Formats: sequence, structure tokens, C-alpha cells
Amino acid sequence: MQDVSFSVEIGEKLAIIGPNGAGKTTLFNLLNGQFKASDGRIYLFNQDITNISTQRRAHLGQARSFQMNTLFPTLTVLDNMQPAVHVLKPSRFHMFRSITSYDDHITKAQKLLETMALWEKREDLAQDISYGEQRKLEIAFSLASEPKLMLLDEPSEGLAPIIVKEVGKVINRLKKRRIPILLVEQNPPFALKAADYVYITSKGLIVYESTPDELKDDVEAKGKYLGVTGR
Amino acid sequence: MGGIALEPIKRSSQEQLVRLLPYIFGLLLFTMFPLLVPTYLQTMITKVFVFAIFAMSLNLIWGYTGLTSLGHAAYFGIGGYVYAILVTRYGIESFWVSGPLSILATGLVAAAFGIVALRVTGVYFLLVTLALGRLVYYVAVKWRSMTQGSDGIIGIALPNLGLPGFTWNATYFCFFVLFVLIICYILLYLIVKSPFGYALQGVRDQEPRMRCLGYNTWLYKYIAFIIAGIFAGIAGMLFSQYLGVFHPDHTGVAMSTVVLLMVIIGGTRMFFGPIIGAIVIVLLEYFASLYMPARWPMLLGAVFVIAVMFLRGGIGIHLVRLWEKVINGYGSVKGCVPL
Repeated sequence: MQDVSFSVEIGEKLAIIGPNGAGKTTLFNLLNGQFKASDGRIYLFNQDITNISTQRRAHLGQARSFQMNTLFPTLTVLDNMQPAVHVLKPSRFHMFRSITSYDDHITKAQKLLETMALWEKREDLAQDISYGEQRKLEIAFSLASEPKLMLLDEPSEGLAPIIVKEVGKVINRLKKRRIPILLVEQNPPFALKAADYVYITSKGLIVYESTPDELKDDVEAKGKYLGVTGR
Repeated sequence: MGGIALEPIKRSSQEQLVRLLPYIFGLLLFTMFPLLVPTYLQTMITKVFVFAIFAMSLNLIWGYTGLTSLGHAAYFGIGGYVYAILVTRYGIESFWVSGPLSILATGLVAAAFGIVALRVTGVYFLLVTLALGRLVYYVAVKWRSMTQGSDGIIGIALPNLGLPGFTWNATYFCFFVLFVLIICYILLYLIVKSPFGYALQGVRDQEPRMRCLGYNTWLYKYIAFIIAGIFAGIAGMLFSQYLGVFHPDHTGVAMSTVVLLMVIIGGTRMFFGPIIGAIVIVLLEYFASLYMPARWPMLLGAVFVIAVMFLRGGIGIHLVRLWEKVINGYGSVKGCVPL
């Protein structure tokens, strides 16, 4: 990635779209600390986070969902939520108390699972629920740590259109909670509907930026970057 | 709200009793069996208990944290050596002093080794732990003034518990080790069922994800590594008391391999799996030593091949499945344990 500069304000939804290999996930890995930036700075709420570890960034309020499911397949849906609801509490280091005895944590997991309509399936193994449900569990997972900034990596990828709509609703709900969202998408219609502002990347560069409405009207840019002609 | 909504997960007291049955049965078996058999079998059962602790400690970092160590006998050896040296060389008679000191020493060594070993992951972790294990082995061989070299330390007495009028015999020692085993079992069980233990399993399955959630995964692995070292040290200390002799071979690669086999055979995914593995291996070793002493390594290899080919995931998981079938009815999928 080169010469990438942008900022996300509170309550804003920002989408980055581009084809395979445009560097979208690389950008995410930089923002989230999986990769080290060779140059430039990254700020989170005016704090320089360029050189701090991924886990510290999480404690500062950055949450991320992955492109591939990163659930624990042989654990139940509820148990999948457990590490996420414990992480910001000192209880994450408790060694001699059963994890099922933390009622307030379980209530929190329950609320999150209920918003994703997954509470009924809490005793199913994560590998047995449908792919769409796994994606929703993945988002619930990231939400559990009370993020102040959500990085969503292709939330609509590989989903049936009806489930994409549901994921869109979930994202809208996040907006109501005024959590800023940075979205990476290969699916422009979905991204344009979900986001307030759009960046298009290509080969590691940001080549275009505008609001979704402007982009819809800009026939030239659409043809050039999204391979769409006409309106 | 949480408490009420959770009702379906809570089990009735009758169901809970059924779930506890295997534990009650196992405990009865372990307590009654040593009383019913002759002394030479009692000592063998004691050995089973010692190795059960050793294998459980390895399973904490292998089965629950995903770190395969090929040098776990190092901590077994250090626990044994420190205890033996304190008792025979420095004459610290009381178990209440020498015991905790040797456990502390093991913990410190594990803390130092952990910093080195956890710089790498995967196969490289395996190799570094192997190297560190060899390091401890050669220190034991070469530091003759302290460890008596390859002659080993002899004359390690049974622990002095400071009880007036109490003298050891094989049965008492067997129950002493069983008591320590039960304590270790409970402590380790609490650890793996705690938020800390869940985080360890998260690190095992999805380390990048856990880091993203905000877990310092290195610290979790490091703490687990130290805890596993400490429990291995307890096993080593008991082993030196059991045998009365401690030898460099007890801290070598062969020992690390045997305990790895115990965990493989018993199964890494079941908490009690390593105990089953310890029972199988120690029993087999005992009978092999009776009937064909020279063939033991071959037999061990055969057992390993059979375990890998026909008991995928270890004996433990198959026992659990059998038990689930017994209580839920044959062919039931309820509570089915995934491989």
C-alpha cells in the first residue's frame, strides 16, 4: 500500500472497495497490527498506534472481523462467545473459577447472540450452524469487546443475497450505536448501500473517493473502476 | 435474566449424578485397587499415578494450548534432582521445605526456558524444547559434584511428613501419591474450565483471532508453559521418592517421548485422557518386563501404531463416546463428542 490517507469519524461508515489483490486486506492487516507499517503513521482517537501490538489496539477499542471464519468449530456457539466477553475484564486471567459461573458475562453474551438471532442455537457446535450464521457469530464476536471502531473484512462474502441483506441490517444497527465502521468489500452494490463514503482502491493505491450517491452518478468512474456501464 | 434463560443448560440432579458416576467409579477403583493387590503391584500402581500427573501436565500445554514439547522431561528431571539434592546432599529432611523448594525451582527453570522456547512456534518450538531438554540432561551427566553424573543420586528417602509415629509402607506411599494426583487433577481441571483455560484453547485454535480480541497470546502460552513445568516437577519429585534413585535418563529424550506417547494414546482432547495413557503404558511396560524384557521398545512402537490407526483422538474420547451411548441410548447424537 502506498499514499493511503483517510480518517473515520465517530458514527461514520466508510467503505473501501476494489478488486482482488487491490490491497484491501493488506490495509486491514496494517490498521490492525498484523503487519508492520514500513512508513507512515496510524492514529486511533488521536493516539499513535503505528507500533503497538494487535492486542493493545483491541484494548483501545479496535475490533475486527475476518474474511475467513475464525470461529472455534468444535465449541458451542455460547462457548465461542466466552473469550470475547471476558477479554476486557480482569477475569480473563482467573484460573480457579469455572467460566460458566460468570452470570453477568453470560447475560452479555446472551444479549449479543439475541441481536444476531443466534441465542436459540447456543448449544449447537459452531461447525454445525449455517455459513450465514457463522458470519453473524463472527460479527457478534467482534462486538463483544465493546469496540469503538469496527473493521469489517468482506462481511458479505460468500453469502446468499437474503443473508447479505441481514448483514446489512446488522451494520445499520451498529451505526445506530454510533460505532464507526470501516468496511472492506468486493461487492460494490452492498458497500454502496451500507456506507456513507466510499474509497476505491486498485493496486495498493486509492484511486477514487466520493459519497455513494456521487459515485452512482459518476458514470465514468463506475465504468473505470467497477466495470459497470450505464446507471 | 441470564439465570432464568439458562434453565435448559442446567441439568437435573439425577442427570448430574449420572455424569458424576464415572468419577466416583474411577475414584473407587483407584482407592480400592491398591488395597486388594500384593505389594509389587502396589508399587506399579504408584508409578501409574506419578506418570498420570506427568502426562496431565504435558496435556495442559499440548492438548489445551497447542504447544508440542519434546523436552518435557526436563522439568520432571529438575523436580526430581532438586528434591534429591536437597534431601541427600543438604539434609533437608522435612518434605514441607524440600517439596515446595523443588517445585519452586522447577517453576523458575520453566520460566527461564519458556522465554527462549516461546520465541518460536510449531516445529521450531518442538526443536527448541528438545534442545533445552538435552541441556538439562547434559548438565545432569556432567555436573558430577552435584548430580553424581551418570551414576545417579541414590538413597532418596520417602518424604518426611513430620507426623509423629508415622512410618511409610508401600500402601501408604501409594495413597500419598494418589492424594497428590487428585489435588493436581482438581487444580488442572479448574484451570482448563476457567476463563484462563478457555483463552488457552482459543490460542490453540485461532491465535490471530485471539490477538485481535485483545488477548496477549504470548503471555497465556508462557503462563501455561510454567504451570505445565511445575506439575511435571511435582511428578518428578514424587518419582525420585518412589524410586529412591534419580538418574540422568529420567530427564532424557526417552522420558519425554514416553510421556508424549501417553498423551497420544490417552487422547489430547479429553481431560482425563493422559491418565488412561499412563495406565496403558505403565501396565504394558510392567507385563513386557515380565515376559519379554528385550522387546519393550518394539511393543511400545506397536502400541503407538495401533493407537494412531484405530484409536484416532486417543482412547479417552472413545471411552467418552461409549459412555454417552450408555446413558443416552445407542445411536444417539445428543452430546456427541466431536473428534
